[in-house]
Parts: sequence; C-alpha cells; structure tokens
Amino acid sequence: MLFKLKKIFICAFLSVWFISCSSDESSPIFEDDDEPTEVSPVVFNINEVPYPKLSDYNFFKSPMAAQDPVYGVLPFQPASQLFTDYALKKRFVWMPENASATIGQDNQVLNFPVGAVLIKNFYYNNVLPGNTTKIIESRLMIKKAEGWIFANYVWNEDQTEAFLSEDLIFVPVSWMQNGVQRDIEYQIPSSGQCFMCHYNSSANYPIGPKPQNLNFAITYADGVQNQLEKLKEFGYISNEIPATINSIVDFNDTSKSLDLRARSYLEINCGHCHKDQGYAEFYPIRLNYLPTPDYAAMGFCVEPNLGSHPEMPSDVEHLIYPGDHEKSVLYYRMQSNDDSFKMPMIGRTLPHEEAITLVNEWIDSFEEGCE
Amino acid sequence: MKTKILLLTAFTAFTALNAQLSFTTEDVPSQGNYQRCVVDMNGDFLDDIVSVSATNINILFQTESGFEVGNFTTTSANNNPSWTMAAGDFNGDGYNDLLYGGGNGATFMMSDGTGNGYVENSPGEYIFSQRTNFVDINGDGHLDAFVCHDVAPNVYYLNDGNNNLEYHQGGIGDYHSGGHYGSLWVDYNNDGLIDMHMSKCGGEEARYTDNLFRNNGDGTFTDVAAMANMDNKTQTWSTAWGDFDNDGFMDAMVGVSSFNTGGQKLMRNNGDGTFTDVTAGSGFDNFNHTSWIYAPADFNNDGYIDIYGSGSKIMLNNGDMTFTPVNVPFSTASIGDLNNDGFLDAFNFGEVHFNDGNDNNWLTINTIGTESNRNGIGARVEIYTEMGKQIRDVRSGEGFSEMSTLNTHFGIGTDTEIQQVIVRWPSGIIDTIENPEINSTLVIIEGEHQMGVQEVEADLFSIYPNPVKDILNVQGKSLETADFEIYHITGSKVMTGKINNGKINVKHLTKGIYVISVKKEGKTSTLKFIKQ
Repeated sequence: MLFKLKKIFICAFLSVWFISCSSDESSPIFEDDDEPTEVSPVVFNINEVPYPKLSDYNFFKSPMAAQDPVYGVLPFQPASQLFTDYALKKRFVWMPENASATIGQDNQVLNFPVGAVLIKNFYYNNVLPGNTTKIIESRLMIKKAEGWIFANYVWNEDQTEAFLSEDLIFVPVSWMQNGVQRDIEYQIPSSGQCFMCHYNSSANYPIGPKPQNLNFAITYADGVQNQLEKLKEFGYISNEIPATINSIVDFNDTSKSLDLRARSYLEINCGHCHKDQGYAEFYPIRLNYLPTPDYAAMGFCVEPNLGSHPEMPSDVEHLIYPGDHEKSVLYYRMQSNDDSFKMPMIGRTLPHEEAITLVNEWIDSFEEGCE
Repeated sequence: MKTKILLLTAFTAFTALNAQLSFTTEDVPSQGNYQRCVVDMNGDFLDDIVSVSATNINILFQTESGFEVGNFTTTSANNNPSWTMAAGDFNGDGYNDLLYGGGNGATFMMSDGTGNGYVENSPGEYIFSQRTNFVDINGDGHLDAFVCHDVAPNVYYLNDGNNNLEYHQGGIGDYHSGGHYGSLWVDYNNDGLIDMHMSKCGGEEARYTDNLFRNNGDGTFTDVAAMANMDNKTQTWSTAWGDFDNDGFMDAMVGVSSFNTGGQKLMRNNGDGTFTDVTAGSGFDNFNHTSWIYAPADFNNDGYIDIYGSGSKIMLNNGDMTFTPVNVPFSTASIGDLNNDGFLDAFNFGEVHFNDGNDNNWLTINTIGTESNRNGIGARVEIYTEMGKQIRDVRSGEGFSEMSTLNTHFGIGTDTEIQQVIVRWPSGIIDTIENPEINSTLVIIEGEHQMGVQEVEADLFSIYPNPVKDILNVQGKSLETADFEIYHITGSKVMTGKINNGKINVKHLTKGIYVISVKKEGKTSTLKFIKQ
C-alpha cells in the first residue's frame, strides 16, 4: 500500500515536471512507465468459451505454430516437468484485465481469478520425415465462476489451426530423440480423462503453477527473471511473494542432490494422484514433495495393496525397498506399459528411461534393508 | 469331513487346514501378454486355457492326454485385455467369443464358426474398461456384452439379434465420473431376472458407494443398494457372490483393495431383498489382505462355496458363515477344471495349480440354451442332496480381471446321491433332472427335461452317452428302419443314415454341439449331444 502511494506521488511529481517542460504542442497524457500500457488483444468472453478453434482466442501472434504469445500471455514452466512420451511443452497463462491471482502456500496452486486461462502446447521437434516441429495438442484450463473447466484443441497436419475436441485420438509420431528414432501412437486424452489427474478435494485444479514449482528464473522476451517476480511485476500476482519458498528442482540438474532431484521428479509426475485427497489416496504411498521427506509415507518398506503381476518377480514385497530398486514395486511400475500396472496410469505409452535411471540410483543410494 | 478335522486338531491348525485343500503347481506352455482366461473354446465343454497378445490367441486345449496347443492369428487388436477379459458365445455359433477390456475401449474377437479362427470387432467408442461380462441384459434370448467404465457411466453392447453390436451408455451405473470397477450379474432376489451388483472405488464417497441394480424386467434397472443395505462405502474392485450358507439366496463378500474406508464385509442375504452385515466373527473381520479380485468356488468339494483372490489364501467356508484361511500358491487366478477330475484348478500366467482333490463327491453341469442364450448365462442352477440345496448362477466374468469356466460346478461332500437338479433358464423354462449320476458331467439342454410336459416325440428315442467320444447309442422302439440325420449346431448337415443296430460312429466329428434328428413313420424328433 505504501509502495503504491509512493508511486502515485512520484507519478504526480514527474507528470507535473514533464508537462511543465513539454513543448507547446499538446502533449499526450503522461503514461507511467511502470504500469502496463498495452491492452491484451486476447479475445475472451467467459460466457462463450470454450471457442471452437484455438485461433479464436488470439493467444498467439501469426503464424500460430510459432507459439509466440501476444501481450498478456506470459510463458511459465515448472522446475521439473511431467513426462508425456518425450513431448516438449510450452505453457502460458493469461488473465483478464485488472484480474490477478494470489499466492498462497508453497505447494498450493496459485489462487487464480475467474477468467484465468492456462495453456499447454504439446509438440515434438525433429519430427520425421522432414525434421520439422509438430504441435499435437493445446490443453486449456479456464477458470469459470463454478470452477475450472477443460478444453482441448487438436492441431491439424498443416499446423495452421487447432480444433476443440473431446475425443481420445491417436496420432502417429516419429521423431529423433537424442539421435535415436522413436515411433509412437501419441494419445490425446478424451475429455473424460482430465479429472483423473486434475481432480482432488472435490474440485478440478491445475497442477503445475505452484510457488514451489515456479521459484526460478526463465528467459522472457525482455530478459531473464524469476517467474514469480515476473508475474507479480506484470500484475498477475497481487500479493507479496514470500521471502522463502520450499522449492523443487529440475530433476535433470546434476548440481542438485540426488534426493532432491528424485523427489522433484516424483512430485510432478506422481504427486498429484499420490497425495492426500488425490485420486490414489486409498493406496499407502505418498509421492508429493515435502521439504522434509517422510520416507515411510513414500512407501519405503511398505507392502503393496494390490498383488503380483507377470512383469514383476514374485518376491518383490515392498513399494520401495531401500538399497535395491529390483526389490521395489515402484521400479517395475515405472517400466511397465501394461494399462493395469504402469505408472502413471495415463499420460504415457513409453517408459521414461532417464527418470527410471534416476529413481533407481536414488533407491539404491539408501542403506539397504527393511526390518 | 468334520470328524477328520477333530482328529487332526492335535496337529497345528495350519497342517489340518492344508490337508483338506492342496495344490500341485505345473508349468504350462501358455504364450501371450495376457493370460487370464480359462474357458472351453472348442465346443467340447472341457475347460481350455486362453492367452492373448495383440495379434494372437494362444489356446491350450484340454484333452485326456494333456494340453494341445493351438495358435490363432488375429488382426492387431485395437484394445488388449489389459484390464479384463470375458468369454461367451455372443454370435451363437457354438464357439465362445472373447471380449478384451482395455484402457481405451473394448475389442471383441468373435469366433468365425469353424472353431479355427477369430474375427476382430472393435466398435471404437472410448471406454476406460474395467470388469467386462457377457450376459443377456434385455432378456431377449441373445447374449449381450457389458463393460464397466472407470471414468464415465457404464457401457453395454446389445446383440441386435443378428449378432451386431449396438452401443448403449447409461441406465446401469451412471456415476458421471465413473468409479465403476466390478460388475457382477446375480439374481439376488430369486425372481428369475438377472440383477447386477456394482463394486465401486475411488474419489468422493458418492463415487465409491456400491450399487445394486435390480432388474425391472423391462430392460431397465433400479439401484436399490440403500434399501438393501448393500450401499457399502469401501474401496472395492470386486465382490464374491455365492450362497455361502446354502439357504437358497445369494450372499456377498465385499472385498477391498485398500482398508482406508473400511475392511471386507460379509453380507448375508435375508431373502427379502435386504442384507445383513455378518462380518463380525466371520473370519473376514481379521483378514488383513487386500486385492482387486474376490470370487467364489468350492475348492474342496464339501458343498460349501469358498472364496479366493487375495493374500495367497483361500478362505475355506466352514458352513456356518465363518471362513478359515488356507495357504495356497495363488491369489489372482482363472478357475476351471483343467484335468476333468471334478476338482477346480487355478491358472495364472504360465502355471496351473492343479487341485490335489480328495474323497468328496461332485457334479459338473454343462448348460446349453435353446430359447435362452447358448451358454445359459443367467440361468439359476439348483441341486438337492442329503445335505440340502445348493445354487449357482451361470456367470461370465467374476472377480476382476479374469475369466473363469462357464461350466457349473458343485461339490457334494460325502453325499452319494443327487435327488434333483433344477435349471431355471432366463427364458422362464424350467428343466428338472432326477437322480443324475454323481462324479460326472451332466449335459442339460434347455427345454428337454420339463416336468409334466409329456412330449410324445421325446419318447421316440434316447441317446447315450452324452458327451460322446466314439459311438453314439440310439435307443427306441422299432428304430431299425428309421433314418437319422446329424447336424452341427450351426445348421450344416454332417451325417445321414439308417439307425440299424442303434450304434452310430461319430468319432470323426469335430468337437462341438450337434443335433441328431430321427424320422420314423413320418414323425421327426431331435436331441442334442456334445462330441468331445
């Protein structure tokens, strides 16, 4: 409050100074450089969304496939990302004019205003045959008065437009991943599947935009900046950013501890279901990130509820067996492609090899044995 | 049996219990990513082992001298049976068809009528499949298919009468975000109409509250779970339904996959549309195992149906609504009689756990529908022996993932005589067989044993043995000059001739169901038989 008053005083002072020094030509009304002067050109009528086509919203400059956002559409990314068959993601947030979110606890999704839109583009680079970039889908979450709704837009082959869709759709994609060709039937989820990850505590929620996931710097058009500070500066967060935020890290960042990296990966890939009030709350494993880990709650030395599986040796008896990943249910489920055994249960058709290596190292790093 | 237990009490209870029931495990050459089905596939009513991959159906056909392997190539299944598998003769051609319940939808592998091939039919709707079943939902005599939906209202495909799949969603389990895990078809109120119990799991309380859908007889179902005291709010993937106390009404053991909202529950059917919770003291009150599969089977043939599925244990029915755990080498399994010895065995991924058996007596029944669907799914089978009455419903798809035998199996303990077997078909026809032979297979063809229906034609002749392997004996008055014809159940004529001395060599016929038609003095009469 004090800051704002100070700002107004300075504005007033400066405005007087500028006007008094201006030429005889009628001068424009002074515009404070600190306040955004542009208006976002996004098209959004909360009573009419979701629109039939992605271009209807005008989120992106032309050509839309360049994924270059217009004013008011800010990029963001979580420190560790969800694995979706190696698809790359670009995430954006937009809010209506004069609307803003508030920041709460570290592991709580930002409290977004009605009218907020989260956009997540899924794409691949080095797509064969032409070594091109191919955008598959754009998943939107829109905050309406009654809660968050989902709207998925499926891109056409020409990459000129994306159309609202509720269907489960298979898209064959072949691309080069680290020099190796991969071929998949990418699964665009049906609208009935969204809630499986996004619903808990009796409502739909976004998963990524939490303070713990955003507390690091990314590159914006006008420079590198901490994302929370950027959102605040832009007016998208209205209250104070806490001085300390218990944050996850990028699981690929080898300068961070193995424990922090593994638990960051598990938070973003598993924690939304495997937490209190999550979809898998009735199973004895909690993989959401805690600043001080509770390994017993994470399944260390805990017996699984559901029985054996052909892909798992019959003598595996613990969800996580510290010291030996081959005695851990978690390892076999991360490897599996069987619908009724694999984890995550939806959202991938390939095993995430790099993450499996990381989690295995993490499990093996503990002193071996259960009582 | 009870005397034996008393004598053995001197030993540890563990040993005594295991002495009643034990299994010998053998590897079998089953091949496929999904090995969760035991059912007859070649029409001889002997249980076979079915394993499936996207492009192959691997069948181990049961024969007297072991399993014969058959592999049948299919088009690449759009959906694998990654969640569940069911079997039933949807197209009525004498061979069971398969239903794969996958995470994105359902795929049918329909037999092509020859016993040698399967044709894929993937209707294409998005279904996050859970338990699948074949059952005649609308009571029109044609088998339909039901698919639980994990994230939306349940789906079913009605047989339009011409073996086409007619998609329906809604009316039998409509929770908007699903939670539908285990559909179990059972006539819980003995009104001759097949009802459905819905085991539910996950999400908010309203989502995981079980349903009991009473069949209204007009194609619609009503959820009466609250009124019946069956609106259990536990995390349940499947429920074992059986008449555990042999009082003529189906009871339920509601299993749990997690103890978070409650443990297993034993629910006794009061016979008036309601159930009473009798878990306390039943043995399920301190049964500390969780599982996604709970299903009934009488493993020790003592006439009291047991429960299997979790903790590598079978809960052996003591006959008084209490159960005692016995260690066995399996939890999840498909159940059937895999060596035709009258004792139920268990198959699970490459291994058969053969029941070591005991001295108890038994009866196996093969139901063949005529007015009703060919498998007789939905029929209520009753047997009466000295120990009392036992009942079964013919079911396709119990427990959670697995498909078990469509044959109806009873143990009768030390009873040596079966007074009566009654089959109440979905069509309303009731067949009664007096004094069938014990320790054998009884073939019951719908309509051929109706009490009080004096059919002159039926007196024309009789046949034995049935099932038959070599020589079919035909008996009757003055048949020496009579003509006979034999047709396969699908209608093709395979043999003709004169009865002569009443012995017809049918050894060359392929396995399956046949109709023998005898014409004498202008009158024609038919009977059906199974060739094994």
